[in-house]
Amino acid sequence: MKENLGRRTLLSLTIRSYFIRLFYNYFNLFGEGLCVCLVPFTNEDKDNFLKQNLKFFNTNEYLSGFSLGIILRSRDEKPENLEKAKDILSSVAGSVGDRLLYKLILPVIVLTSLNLFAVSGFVLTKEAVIIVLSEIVIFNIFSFMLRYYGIKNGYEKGLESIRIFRTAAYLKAVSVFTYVRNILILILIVNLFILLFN
Amino acid sequence: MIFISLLSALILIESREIFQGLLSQPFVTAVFLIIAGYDQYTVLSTAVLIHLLYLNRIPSGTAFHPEYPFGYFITVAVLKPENVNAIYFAVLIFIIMAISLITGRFIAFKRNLFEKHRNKFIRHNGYPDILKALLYSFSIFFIFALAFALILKSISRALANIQIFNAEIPHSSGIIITLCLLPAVVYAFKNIRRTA
Repeated sequence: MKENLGRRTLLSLTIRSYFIRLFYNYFNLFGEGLCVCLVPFTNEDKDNFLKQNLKFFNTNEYLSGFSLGIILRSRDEKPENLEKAKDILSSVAGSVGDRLLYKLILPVIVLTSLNLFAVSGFVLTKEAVIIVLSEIVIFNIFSFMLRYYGIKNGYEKGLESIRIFRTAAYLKAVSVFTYVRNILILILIVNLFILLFN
Repeated sequence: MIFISLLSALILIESREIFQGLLSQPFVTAVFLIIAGYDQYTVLSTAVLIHLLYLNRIPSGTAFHPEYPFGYFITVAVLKPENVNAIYFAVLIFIIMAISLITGRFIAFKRNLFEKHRNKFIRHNGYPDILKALLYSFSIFFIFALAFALILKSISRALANIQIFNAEIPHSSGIIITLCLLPAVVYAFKNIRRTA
């Protein structure tokens, strides 16, 4: 087994992970998307690979990098543990990713923009355009890094890599984001009240 | 109409199937609509309310999720509302919510279709193929968006002839801001209580 994945493989897997939801279906959820991402990187026969892997698999699209890295490693290292790894990933990556992205990061980004719109009285200012575009750029760099380093760490450390979601630093970051989100919604309410009485 | 349908299909595919880089979110599309010459006040106030209504929902798993980025963009882009009064604003929000719900149901229907005919639509020589699946999703979304654009065009003609939508309504902007305030308070209440 290789110790690390090459940069080219990592980039190719990262780009493929952007299409993982394209194959989402009610039969195996992300199972087919997972196969699409991994097929070019296995030495196995395509038919055999699909037969073995077209099974139920859940993840969050932004955290799919961890899943791809861990599954690639499990296949190379201990194929007998592959199904167990998939089960763990299906529950952890799905729930952690959804809560992190859709309950914290997305609301913080959206509420920042909504505050800008409310402060200006629903008039688009140059500052608002710059901040909205910066948010998009920053979010996409973050999303790319999350996928890229997810694959890298997942392959290098296996299931150990998802322990990052239980570290004190991660929990602290979640708590900071929660406070920021709550403050932003309160500021938005105040801004809307000011707009109402002006 | 065709250009708006193409953009709407791209928005739906970005928010649901590929990339998910927030480009389809109403707070981003609102900026581009204003740059394209749409009325700032209506576009931004509608985006604010739509975001606040759906901010607490997670578009994950098999759970039903209203496709508000698509609903917002196609409605505002086709109706091209200007200086709307509170009644027109409420109707606009209702139309966006209705389209978002129908689109959510349509996505579920499309996924069921995938399961029955997946070999034909998204596979090449029996193997899942990104390009084929992308083309399949995009063409279906484009036809869906075009149908909605035509319906919205006829709605916009009907709305233009109804006097109440063009009438002067006292405190109209106050009502619009209050409509934005209500879901903001509900969101704050739900999330701050949960955190506490």
